[in-house]
Amino acid sequence: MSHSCFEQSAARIVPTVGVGLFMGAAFFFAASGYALENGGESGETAAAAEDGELVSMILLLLGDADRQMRALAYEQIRNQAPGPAATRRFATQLDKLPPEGQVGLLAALTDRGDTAARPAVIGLLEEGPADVQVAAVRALGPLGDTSDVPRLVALLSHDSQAMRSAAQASLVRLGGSDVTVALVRQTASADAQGLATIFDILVERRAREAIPLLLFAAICDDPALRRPAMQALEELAGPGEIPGMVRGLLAAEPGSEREAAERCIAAVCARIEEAGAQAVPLLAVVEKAGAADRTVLLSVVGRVGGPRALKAVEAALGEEATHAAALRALCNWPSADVAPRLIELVESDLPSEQRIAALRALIRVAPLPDQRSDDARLALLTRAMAMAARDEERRLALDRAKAIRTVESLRFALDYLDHDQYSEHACQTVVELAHHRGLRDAHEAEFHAALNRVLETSEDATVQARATAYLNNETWVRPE
Amino acid sequence: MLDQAFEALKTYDWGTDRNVLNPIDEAVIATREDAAARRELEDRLVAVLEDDVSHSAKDFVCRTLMSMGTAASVPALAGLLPSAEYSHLGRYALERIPAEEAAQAMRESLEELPNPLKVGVISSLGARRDERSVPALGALLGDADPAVATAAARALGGIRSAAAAQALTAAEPDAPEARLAVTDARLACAEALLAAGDRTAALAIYRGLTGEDQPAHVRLAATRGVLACAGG
Repeated sequence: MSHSCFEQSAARIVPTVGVGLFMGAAFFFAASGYALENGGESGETAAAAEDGELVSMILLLLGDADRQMRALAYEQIRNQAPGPAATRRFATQLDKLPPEGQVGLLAALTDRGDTAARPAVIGLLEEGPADVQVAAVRALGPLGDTSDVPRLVALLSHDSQAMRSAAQASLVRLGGSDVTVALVRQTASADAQGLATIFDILVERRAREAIPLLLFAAICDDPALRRPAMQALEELAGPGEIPGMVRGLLAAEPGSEREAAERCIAAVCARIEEAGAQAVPLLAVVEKAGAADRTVLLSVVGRVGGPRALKAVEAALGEEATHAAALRALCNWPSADVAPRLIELVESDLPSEQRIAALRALIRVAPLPDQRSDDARLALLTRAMAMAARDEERRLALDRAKAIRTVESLRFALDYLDHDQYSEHACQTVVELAHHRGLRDAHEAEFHAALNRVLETSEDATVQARATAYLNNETWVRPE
Repeated sequence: MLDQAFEALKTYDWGTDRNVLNPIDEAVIATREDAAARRELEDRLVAVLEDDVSHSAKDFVCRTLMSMGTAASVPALAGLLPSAEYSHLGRYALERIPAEEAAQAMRESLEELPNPLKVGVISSLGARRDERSVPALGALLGDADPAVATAAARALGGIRSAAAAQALTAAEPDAPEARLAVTDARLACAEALLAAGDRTAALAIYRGLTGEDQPAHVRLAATRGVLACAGG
């Protein structure tokens, strides 16, 4: 639109809204060479006269030389002059503004959330400065529709991190019931990295309808795909998907992939609210599994825990073929309920490596927070310490004492401060306990004495710095 | 008890046990529905103002009259206005006494008071949102003393009526602080007029403040107002 048209439009409004403001805006546009679409669109005369006037004023402010005035325009676009007719008039300014204005207007239209702006936004996706393109991609989240899925998925592999992030954010926000279907269709042509990103998007969209696809991916040949699929299932799946996830677990390579898959299944089981029933769907699968698979699955049964799981694991412990796997299951137990059984195993005549594994599990579960008192938790850890025959387990027990934040834990650690083979671990535990100001202040004299001993004993610079800070009643900031 | 309290009031001063005056507070509450008793209590309090009592005692009386005073208290309170020591105590009470006589007494005092005390009374008229004071306050916008002109502008901004806006529109004080106060008051009037549904009057004020000759923050506020008038 020519300047003269702008001037005619402005002239219509000037008597109503004040000369100064419009003269300022008119000067800016004349000087900058940016033209304004300021006339009413045909067929839009149904818009209320008040809104028409308001929109015209906002359009002028969009081009104001003063940044605060432009911010005022953006604020108005976000919250005022409702309706698609006004939105289209705002959006038509996109290709007439300088880049900074384009970015500001795109952000305002994004927040306005009216899809009538979509055609104008599409026009900026592939041309202009990078920040404008990124803002346009970000705007497609609330303003776009299902047809935008392919172009946004393609941008997930863009060279620019900002562009990839914007595309991902928009795919998460994109509205419409069939967006998930469109996303799933895109998986056919995506590479492993792209698929993993799409899985993340499906998780953020809470797209449970994608679960069949994820279950399928969890058993495919490519570990780069199986692992993110299981991680997505961890977030989206329910008890009904446990059988499918177990197939994914069995497809996983032994080692870190399988352990990660076990944790995913355990997380889904943990969401079952009925007390003691967390292992039920998993045990139903285990019962139907062949002997080899049952052995593999015992480990995840242990991670889920609970009385029914314990019964199954105990049964497996008595059989030679499954004994080792059952022991590993007990060692994976998520709670201290299994402590009495672990003590029995430590004190049994099992091979030493199995007794050591049971002891290490006992040391791990002893301080776990539950209905037991702090004293009971420390008593169990102390007992485990007494059962330890090697320095490694004693050091482990000293480390775990950090999790019981009582002055008794401090005293427990101090007993080992003068033994060279444990002193650094004991010092670590002392400073970690001292880190909690409430505990430290409540037993100030005891902690002061302990921290002074740490300064005399420890050769670790960080431990010394922490001890000094706490002695001076300063806060020590844990490094990132 | 009440007689003892009034007796105590004669010697009451800073550091005295405040509890000795509690019967007067209780009497204020107890006479709420009893006009004759309330009038008698008010007369006794007013009489104290005319006695030679401490500043703390007069402070107590003025604060009490602030909550229960009527036109009957006005002459005594107005008598305090020219006093550098008691002017503010008097105007605080007059500011809150609903009777028109209270506002009238303050308006009439404007011509007599020295500027530092006049500023206080002007503020009280603004706080009272006293529409009848608009002409007097409008006239003070051109006062040679910037403190008086500024106070008048702020008071008119507190009154926030069409008449106040009109008085402000015509004002062109010399002092920069007074000019800023006038602008601020005009914006306050426009906001109140728009809230009351008088869009035309509000828009006229906002329009006048969107010019390039205005500071950026004023332009911004006025433009926001113009947009609000247009439906934003």
